[in-house]
Amino acid sequence: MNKRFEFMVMVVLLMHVQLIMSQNTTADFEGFNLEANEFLNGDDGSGGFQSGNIFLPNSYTANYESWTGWAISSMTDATTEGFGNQYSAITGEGVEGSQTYATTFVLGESIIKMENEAAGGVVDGVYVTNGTYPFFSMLNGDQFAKRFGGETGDDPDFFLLTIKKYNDGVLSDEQIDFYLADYRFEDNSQDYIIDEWTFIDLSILGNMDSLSFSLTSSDVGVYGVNTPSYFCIDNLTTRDEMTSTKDLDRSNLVCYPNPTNKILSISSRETLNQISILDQAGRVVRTLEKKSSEMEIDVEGLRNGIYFLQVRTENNVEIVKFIKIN
Amino acid sequence: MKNTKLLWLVCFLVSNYNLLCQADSINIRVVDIVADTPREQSNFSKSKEDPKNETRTLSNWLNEQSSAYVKSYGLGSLATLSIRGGNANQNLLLWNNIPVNNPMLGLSDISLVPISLFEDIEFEKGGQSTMHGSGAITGSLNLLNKKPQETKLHLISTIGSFGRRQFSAGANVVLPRLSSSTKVFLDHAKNDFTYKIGNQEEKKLTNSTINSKGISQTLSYDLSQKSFLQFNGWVQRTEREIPPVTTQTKNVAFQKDDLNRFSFKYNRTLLKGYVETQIAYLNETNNYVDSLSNIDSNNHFEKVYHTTRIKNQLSNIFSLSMKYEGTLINADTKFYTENKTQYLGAIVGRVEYNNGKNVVTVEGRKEWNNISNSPFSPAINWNYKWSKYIEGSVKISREFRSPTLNEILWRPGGNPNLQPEEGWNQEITGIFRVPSKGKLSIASYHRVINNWILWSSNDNTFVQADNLKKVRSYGLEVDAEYKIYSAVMTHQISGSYAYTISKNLVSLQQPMVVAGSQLIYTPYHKAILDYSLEYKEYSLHVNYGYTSNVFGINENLEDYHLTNLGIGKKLTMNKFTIQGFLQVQNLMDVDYRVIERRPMPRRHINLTLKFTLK
Repeated sequence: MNKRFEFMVMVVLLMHVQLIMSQNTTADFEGFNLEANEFLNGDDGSGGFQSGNIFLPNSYTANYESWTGWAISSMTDATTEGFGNQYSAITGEGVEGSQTYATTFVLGESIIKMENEAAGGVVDGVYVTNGTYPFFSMLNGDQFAKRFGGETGDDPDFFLLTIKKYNDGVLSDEQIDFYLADYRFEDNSQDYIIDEWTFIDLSILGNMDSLSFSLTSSDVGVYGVNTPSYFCIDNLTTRDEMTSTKDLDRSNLVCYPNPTNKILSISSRETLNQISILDQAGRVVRTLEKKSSEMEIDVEGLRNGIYFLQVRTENNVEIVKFIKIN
Repeated sequence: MKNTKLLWLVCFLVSNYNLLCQADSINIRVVDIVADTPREQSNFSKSKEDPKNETRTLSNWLNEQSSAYVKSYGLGSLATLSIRGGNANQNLLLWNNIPVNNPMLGLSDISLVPISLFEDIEFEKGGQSTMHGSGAITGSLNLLNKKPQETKLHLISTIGSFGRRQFSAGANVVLPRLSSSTKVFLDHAKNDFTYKIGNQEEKKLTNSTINSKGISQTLSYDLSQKSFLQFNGWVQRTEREIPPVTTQTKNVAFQKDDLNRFSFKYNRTLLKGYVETQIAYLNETNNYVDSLSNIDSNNHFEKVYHTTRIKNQLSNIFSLSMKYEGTLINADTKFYTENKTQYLGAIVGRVEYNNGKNVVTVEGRKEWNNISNSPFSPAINWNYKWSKYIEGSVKISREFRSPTLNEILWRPGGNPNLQPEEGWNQEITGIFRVPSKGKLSIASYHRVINNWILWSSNDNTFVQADNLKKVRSYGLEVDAEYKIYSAVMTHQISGSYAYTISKNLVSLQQPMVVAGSQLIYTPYHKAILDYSLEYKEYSLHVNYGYTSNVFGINENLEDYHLTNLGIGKKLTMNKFTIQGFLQVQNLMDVDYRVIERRPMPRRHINLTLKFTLK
């Protein structure tokens, strides 16, 4: 499996920087005490599942014996293709060999609500992977959905997970794009379908009431997306105890000159741990790690254009847009 | 959403030319659209005892000879018929006047119908709901077994490309009061043809083998000079692998289709008419298995059908016909939750005025069933015979299709509140004849169907059957045939052209339907040109077809031209006849597709030998 993955960060200017003093809680779904090869799909009318400080809504339609939203699964079948294996993750297990994980069938969007101490807080991140059903549908195709790459293997197909947040009921402009499968490379050997648990850093979304997950695919017909709209998550970590969060003044972080042609200087009152430069596709093109309140990074080799500077301090992540010129 | 796609997987997961043939050959008749009045006038000689006719399936045959559009998923795969811009469940397949469309799906897979089992096939284009009931909105195909006229035996053997091996035989026995016609066939083909993909790379189709065998039996017993009993039976077993689509790495699925059809008919001639009663039992199973996806879907239904019709000549110019139909259907699938038994009754009345020049028929049909509604369906038809060269007709009728069992009961998505598709159909036809030589017919039609049933997820929840669309269809059809005789040579040329507009009148989000757009898989143009030459014991046959581009579900398909060539020779020795026929299909080696992602075969051949003993 090609282990490459990338996330494309589409950032509208951040309005606040927050320093967070918190504990972490991880929703690992092990508390449902499922035996191997079981699942909970909401047919008991529970309406959803609580794990850690999050709630995963489920909508079960008895007439159809069908569900949307989230299900809890300990299915281990990573080889059987087709709809009948809709609850399995392609890994056949949870993160680090755990038994239980969550899977979702996305109709429009799937929501995760932050609750208790995590309500209104920051989500550090979540592990995601493909379901077995969509994995093999993309790898081999089926009677309805195409094999990614198409007849020739050259079609620029993709299966994209987009993550946004709701805060005070408002859907954010910020989003994280994560490719569960990407066949857009010129060199087909670089094409990949995610088959491992992969961590997505969600902290850059900042505080939130809930997370929104949506899926888009290049394989679309008159009847909508052909690729089975499933993916799986595990170990979603929230930061709790929001009472010690406080806003920082944006001037705390200074980047100059902007635009720049050679060196970008960064200074902060906090200690900087790491700075990274991301291109517009979300690919990390430069990374510098050093514990200092001032750092400089060479941008001379970069093509002209817009880039994002991701600055990590001890308790915070901030993104600043800058422009590279000649 | 995927649930319903699976449903479709499981459900599916399916001109005006005439052949005047001798007794054992296939006679496909396209009946003029003026109801059934001028049927007798529509017989035109096109081909005689061509072995090629008896080695084809109904789908292949119609595709080459008719301007109706055959949606073929590939050689040996599902094929359905679209007439005049309608969809597959808006035309009706009949077997000896008994509706045999699958009541769960509402359609028939015409790739499974070997035409060698039938003496006659009537193809009627245009609204037939009043006559035949639900599902005959755009036309009907009637497979007919007839009482044999002479004792004889025939054997047909075919070998061809892609592992094709076919054998069929028929035996007719005619005794003073009893006659019997038995026909059997065995068909095997690997269908592992090569095809080209987008970058011109060649690939070979896999998992595409089909094995089919069947028997039909007709027994007719004359009770008296005025009455007879007839038994018809048709038993068939088909096993076929489901090949992968071009965007699929492999497929291991296969499907079994078993059908058992039996009917008894009693007919008695009255002083001024006749009475006929018929009872039929149909039992069919469709089993789809995909071990890769752990799918094993078994759908089964039984149907008992009874009809009695009586016709009485009231005077020299008026006649009255009445027909009753009763149907009981029991369907069995794990995807239904309730009410698997359907009872259906129908009454049809028809008055005909015929003064020799004018034939006017007024008819009406009313159906009742315990699962869905059906509208009253009237029809009026006026046929005017200007001279022996020219005649014309006008017909107005109300057409309908009741929801299928799947559309009502399937879980998930079946909708018990569905209304029948219904609308008015208008047709006008002119026929110009050259007696004994040919004819030209020009037909135009217009139809609006309301409550068009569609599986959709418009509210962004699960896919459900709903009355969502309204479709207007109109078009022009031209059919012509001409024959030139001489002492040793016969030329026959025929052509058929259909211009079809079938537009959505309502916009939808999912499926994405734009008001004013042509329906998917509905070509604007389809044309057929067919030429036959018989010279002494030799024959030559050339068939050309053009189908214009169509809109598909995921992509649009380009137009294509297909040419087929056949040559034959016939030897006769007393009562023994040998015929040989070599067919080259897709002579120009065209790479084409009828359905997206489903390859079609390039140039291939079939060699057929037929032995007849009279």
